[in-house]
Amino acid sequence: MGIGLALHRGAGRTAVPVRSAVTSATVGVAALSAAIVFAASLSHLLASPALYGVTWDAAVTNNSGTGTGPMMPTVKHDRQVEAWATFSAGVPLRTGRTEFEAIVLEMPRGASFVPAPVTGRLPTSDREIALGTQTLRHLHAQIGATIRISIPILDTRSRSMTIVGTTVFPTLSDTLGLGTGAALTPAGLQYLAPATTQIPLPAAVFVRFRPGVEPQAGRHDLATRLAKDGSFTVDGPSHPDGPAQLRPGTGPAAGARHRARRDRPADHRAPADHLGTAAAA
Amino acid sequence: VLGIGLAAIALLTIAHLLITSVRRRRRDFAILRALGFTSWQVRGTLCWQALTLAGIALVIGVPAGIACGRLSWQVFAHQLGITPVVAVPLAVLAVMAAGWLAAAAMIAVLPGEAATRNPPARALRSE
Repeated sequence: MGIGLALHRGAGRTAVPVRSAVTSATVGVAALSAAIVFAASLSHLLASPALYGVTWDAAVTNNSGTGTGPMMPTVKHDRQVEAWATFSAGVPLRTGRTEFEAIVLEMPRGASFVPAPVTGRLPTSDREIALGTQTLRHLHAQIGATIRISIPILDTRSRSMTIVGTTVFPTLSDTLGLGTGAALTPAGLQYLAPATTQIPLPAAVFVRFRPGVEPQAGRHDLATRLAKDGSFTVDGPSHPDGPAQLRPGTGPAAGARHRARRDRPADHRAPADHLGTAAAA
Repeated sequence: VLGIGLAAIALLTIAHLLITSVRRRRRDFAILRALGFTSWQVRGTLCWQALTLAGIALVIGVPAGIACGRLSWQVFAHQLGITPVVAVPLAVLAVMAAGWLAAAAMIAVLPGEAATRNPPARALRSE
């Protein structure tokens, strides 16, 4: 009886607005369901660091400006360390009038610290490059295309590189993060730089701890062991509280990163700055 | 907030429909009661009316909402440049559906009271 009344529109004096009520209720349920799916996806993103480019538990930086060499024996033989990779972040690149920054990663033991590519694959040779999806869109390029790239601070001749994929980058500088930036192999950076320019040693090491090792405790233990070898900084990745902090230059550590960069002495600067120094010399 | 607001408006629409239904079908309800319908059966009829509307809204609205949520997340992820991994929390959606039906049933209480307040003879006389 009730079901019949619900679906019966009636006529004249007994007419009831069934159709508009059903439409309104459907729109309300749909909006609520959409909001639930969106919120759950956002929560999943914030709970999965690999999705926003963070694939490491600690980043170790040598405060003495002598590269990663002095820290490597300790890092390599640390029982808590599952994988490591030396890296240089913020290497400036230019193609046409578009400038962006790159992360240069070595991948020993086959462990990649760049998240799985969104499309395509990661670069493996010196003439290959992976871009962020936004950078790719900005260049109006596509995977498989060849673009001419140079290092603007060295004023080098541009060289051809093939785009082999798109990936997500950790937010490591104002312009490197998520869909903005590029990934190169160390050989790729050497290929772009003039033969006379000596590529500086990688400045830092990404470390991933073994399963079961609590990251904060692992960082503390690693910092204690490294203290015997010199002056090193062991930082954890910054995790955003919301989507607004995911964009490059807006993360919780962005302010600290700016201060650290500003306060660092000349011989402690990132490799990109070293390249600039070499060019000026 | 927008979703909850729209859902609340949708519940109010159902409430409005039930109130309108009780007022315009006063004669029908009076005849039913004259034929032997009890007050609880009238209340039950309105409850089923509300549950039917809410059920139709769920059957159409939940799949449409999941599709809209997926699409909007994919657009958002595409703009950010991240991998678009969509999470569909079926347990939360089930709780939402149960809550929605319960709210619809509760909303039918007041129109049910209004439908049984007047004696059928008075209602039929006024009609």
